[in-house]
Amino acid sequence: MEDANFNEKESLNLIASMIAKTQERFQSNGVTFIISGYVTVIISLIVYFSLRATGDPDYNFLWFLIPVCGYSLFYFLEYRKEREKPVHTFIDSMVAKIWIVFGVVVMLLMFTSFITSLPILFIISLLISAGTALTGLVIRYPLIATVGFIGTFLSLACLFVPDYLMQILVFALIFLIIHVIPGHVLYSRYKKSTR
Amino acid sequence: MLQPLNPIIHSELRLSVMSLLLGVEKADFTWLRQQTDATSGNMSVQIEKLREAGYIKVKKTYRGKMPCTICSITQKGRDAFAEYVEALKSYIALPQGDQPKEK
Repeated sequence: MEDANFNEKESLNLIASMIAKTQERFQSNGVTFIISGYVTVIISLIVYFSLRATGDPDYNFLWFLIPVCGYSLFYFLEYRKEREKPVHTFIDSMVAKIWIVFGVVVMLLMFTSFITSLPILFIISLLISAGTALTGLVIRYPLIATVGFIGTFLSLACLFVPDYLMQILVFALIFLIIHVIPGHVLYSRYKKSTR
Repeated sequence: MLQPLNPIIHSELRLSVMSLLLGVEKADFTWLRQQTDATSGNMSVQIEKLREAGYIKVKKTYRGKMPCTICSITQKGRDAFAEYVEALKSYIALPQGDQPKEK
């Protein structure tokens, strides 16, 4: 492209064509969802079997493995790739900020639940499902928005299932639905689109 | 009445860069060059002119061992772009052949 002056119509056409180049849809490879989904499901099952086998409530501290393992895996598998993206859109930034807010709130609730009695599995599954639905709506992926809303309704089951051990299984099921399955769908779509 | 066009923006490559940066939060030098089909030398010169005018922010960093230049539009750049588009509008209704004047 030459650095030449040009007329007003060419200016307008140029502005329109350049702006159109920035309007590409958000493209996710789903890896973040896969990481958070599998980590949550696996840790939930570990907590479930530990509590079932021993009955020792101290095994609830294993829940903190979710942020530790999740963020570590995200850092090693995705963070660098995210940083090295040649262009960051406002949608990228908005999605990141949504999850920073939800992440901070969830961590705060996790600590609070050890001090005071809270229906923590219900609250966390509700918040993460709402975050997922919000992400789906922002990035305009109907699948993500739909599973987010399904998870929002399913989280109510954590309130109505009286047994804590059963609540853990429901919690794991919710994450399987809202993160693992759509994560794999996004990953397979991404692979096809980059072939 | 015709409004003068900002000469810093009214250049094909600089206008392209401003339009691209308006639609994203930040972009690297290589991406901007690919989108505009500009040469590295020309792009460097135009980016420096926009930076000197305060229209874009330029951050030089590294990706691994490779240097990397990240650009983003500033509020001053957004305001200047909006003024430029307003000025362009005053030319739209004119008969064909009338050329915009620079500041």
